[in-house]
Amino acid sequence: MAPDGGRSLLFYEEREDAVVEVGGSGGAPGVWSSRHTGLAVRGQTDLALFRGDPDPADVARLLRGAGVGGREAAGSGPDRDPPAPWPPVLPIPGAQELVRRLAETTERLSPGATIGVRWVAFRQVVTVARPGLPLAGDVRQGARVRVAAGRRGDEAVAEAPVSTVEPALTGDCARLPEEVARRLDERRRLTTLPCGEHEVVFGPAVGGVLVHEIVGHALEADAALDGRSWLAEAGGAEVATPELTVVDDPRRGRAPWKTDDEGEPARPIALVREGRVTGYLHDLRTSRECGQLPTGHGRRASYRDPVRPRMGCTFVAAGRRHPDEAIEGIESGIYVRRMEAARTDPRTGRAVFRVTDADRIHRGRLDGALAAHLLIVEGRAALRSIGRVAADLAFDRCPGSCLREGQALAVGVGAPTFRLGSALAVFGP
Amino acid sequence: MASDLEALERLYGFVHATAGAEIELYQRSADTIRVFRSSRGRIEVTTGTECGVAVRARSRSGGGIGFAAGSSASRQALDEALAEAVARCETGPAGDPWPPSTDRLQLDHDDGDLPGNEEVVAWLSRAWDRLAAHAAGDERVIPVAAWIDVASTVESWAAEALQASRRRIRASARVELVRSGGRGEGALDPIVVARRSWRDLADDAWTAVLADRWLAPAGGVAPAAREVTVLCNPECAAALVLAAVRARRPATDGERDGAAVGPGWHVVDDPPAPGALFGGEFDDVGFRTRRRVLADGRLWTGAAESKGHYRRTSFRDPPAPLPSSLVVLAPAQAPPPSCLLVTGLTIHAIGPGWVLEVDSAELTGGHPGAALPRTMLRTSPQEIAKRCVGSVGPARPSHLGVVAPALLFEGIRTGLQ
Repeated sequence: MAPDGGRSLLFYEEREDAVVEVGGSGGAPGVWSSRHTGLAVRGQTDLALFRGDPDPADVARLLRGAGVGGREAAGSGPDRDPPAPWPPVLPIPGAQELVRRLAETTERLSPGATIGVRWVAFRQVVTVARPGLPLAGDVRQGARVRVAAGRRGDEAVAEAPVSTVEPALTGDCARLPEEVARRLDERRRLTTLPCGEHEVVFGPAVGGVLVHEIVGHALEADAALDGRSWLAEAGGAEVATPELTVVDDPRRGRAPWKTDDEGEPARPIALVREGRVTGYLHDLRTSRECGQLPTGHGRRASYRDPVRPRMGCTFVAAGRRHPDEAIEGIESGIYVRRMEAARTDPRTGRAVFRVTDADRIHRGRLDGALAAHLLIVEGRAALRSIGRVAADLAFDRCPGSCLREGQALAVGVGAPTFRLGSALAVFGP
Repeated sequence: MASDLEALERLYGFVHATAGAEIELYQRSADTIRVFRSSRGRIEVTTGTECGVAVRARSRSGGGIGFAAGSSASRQALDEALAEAVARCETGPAGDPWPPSTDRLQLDHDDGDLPGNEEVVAWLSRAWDRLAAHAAGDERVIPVAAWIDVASTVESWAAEALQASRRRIRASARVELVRSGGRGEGALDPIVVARRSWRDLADDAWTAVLADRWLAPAGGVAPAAREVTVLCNPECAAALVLAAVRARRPATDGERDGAAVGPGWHVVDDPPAPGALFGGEFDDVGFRTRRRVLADGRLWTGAAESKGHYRRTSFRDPPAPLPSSLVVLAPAQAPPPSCLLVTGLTIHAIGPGWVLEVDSAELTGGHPGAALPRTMLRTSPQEIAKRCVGSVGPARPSHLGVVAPALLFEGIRTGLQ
């Protein structure tokens, strides 16, 4: 532990973001990019000072302002070099060509549909200095392509994203237009189910969104310490079916990190193991308050924001069943292919999800596409009713950002196919 | 901070001569204070300064737009951003707006100075204590986390025949709450208040919003599936109006101006109005703002998608047309003998429709009854506009930038079927 209790911290960030997109049929790509540098200094109290585009004099000035002596906080140690001062420019020209090609192919395969293709990439280099410790650093980068198509006048919408941790996007994009066209065709005729409780099966990767919301947010240690976590009261009691193990590993997924924004190495944490709460996500402050080791989950959206314990890549561990077993025997239910969180209350475990792509399950088989709807899940009941966890663990098929206290972070999620005993489905008017 | 307009004009003159494209420069610097308080009384202060410059370039051949931004107004950073923007404008989207030919604007209003850290911390403590004292019978609210943000920004624009600058302060405060006793424990929607200046943020701003929401604690029975008359309090009406205006895309939805609305749906985007939270003399691109009637109680008549209505969240983001300062001018009505009073609202957009999760109570003879279990209303943006018949009581400003009274809607479906 650092001499001042690990409180004071110097954080330097260089970041570049870029977006290339085609928003509509026949439109030329739009391109924008931004880059910034910033420095933040946290003192031994809960006071943090920051400065955008800092010059060397700002370092000493901010250290003094935050009540940190100048020299000792600068870090030392030969065992780790600081990262390169500025990353190469993101490959925007290549992305423009990629986006244009994907848009043209999608238009050809889905004539008359409204097409959207969007490439998003970021590269962030951080350097962290703490008193008495070697300088720490990390390079985070990622890229994502989303291809979407919709038909005006009805609800038929299909999309397929692919993500990679290389900004050059070496992921398999070529298949996306065909995937979207096929799904758009399957969604030409949409059905609904009566609003009410239904059995729900989450396809590969999608269930990661569910556990991110109802498990992960409740086990961010600051939520537990501040009385905002429904799982914190559980202690070691069984809260879920023994089939369920939930892990957060920031080193995996589409936006990984090896070192967090306080210089701690990231490590995987089993949040729920065989149905029992076994771990929390910590930053330096919460680990100190709880008497636990840091877990490397202290993150900030930028140098302007305070550090909080945040999820990296939250996933359900693979089970042993065949995916078909999750659907077997369901008389009438929902098979979710794509969804996003709409509202979560970590204090009660209640969460609302917008399901944007799903099939109806009828007598144990998939039976046509369902219209968009809401799924309302009560955490306590939901975790106990999860079962038939399959072996087909997959990641990041419906990627998104996690927004907390106004801080947006790219996160990963993963899950195998599994069944949820009951959730309230609400279809639109 | 002083305005950097003159420096920006000089830079503009240099890069304009060398760019090979028409360019617009935008420079922004901001001093911010954020104070956080946890349920255990921990206070965290984050404060600092950032600045940045953005360049948009349009090819002289009338082609596309390129946009690039950097966290420095130095010549080197500007040159880099300019080179990137110009390189990209060959493939940018057409039809992007551009400043008018001649319009030199002066310094916009000045909202005073930033408060000190201690002053902001003291505000948070007083407002927290006021809220924590709020109770009805054995039912109480418990603040669990709160944030207050105060920012002073200086923005400058330079483009062909357009130079503008403004300085302003915005303050907003958010608190998360839970309820205990009475109906048992449950989360309440966070309360957010925002003002144009620090001095306008009163200590009782949160409790005033809470008073509008507060319902008798005894539990009622959820209404059966049927069509009901709904009265949304001003906070909920503001959220509905903003969401409905934003959901409307006349150009792509095939819906033309002239679609019918209800007699209460009279909506104006009025950024030049004195006191408009996000308004001012000009928008975030530098266009002079103007009042625009979006709906007149009979028809949709326009959209906030043209010059004078552009907004950007920082120098990093390209500007986009958004309604910034909606005012609802619905004709006043007497409250109906009975209706559903909505005091809390979450809008879920699913497909073309909306499902509204609401906190509500039966309103009979002007008196709200017991709070009902969380109820679902099923509607759509188009239907909300058509079914708005009038307003009840005075208009109030909300943190969303919308000034709205309580709004009355007829024929809204409740329940799940």
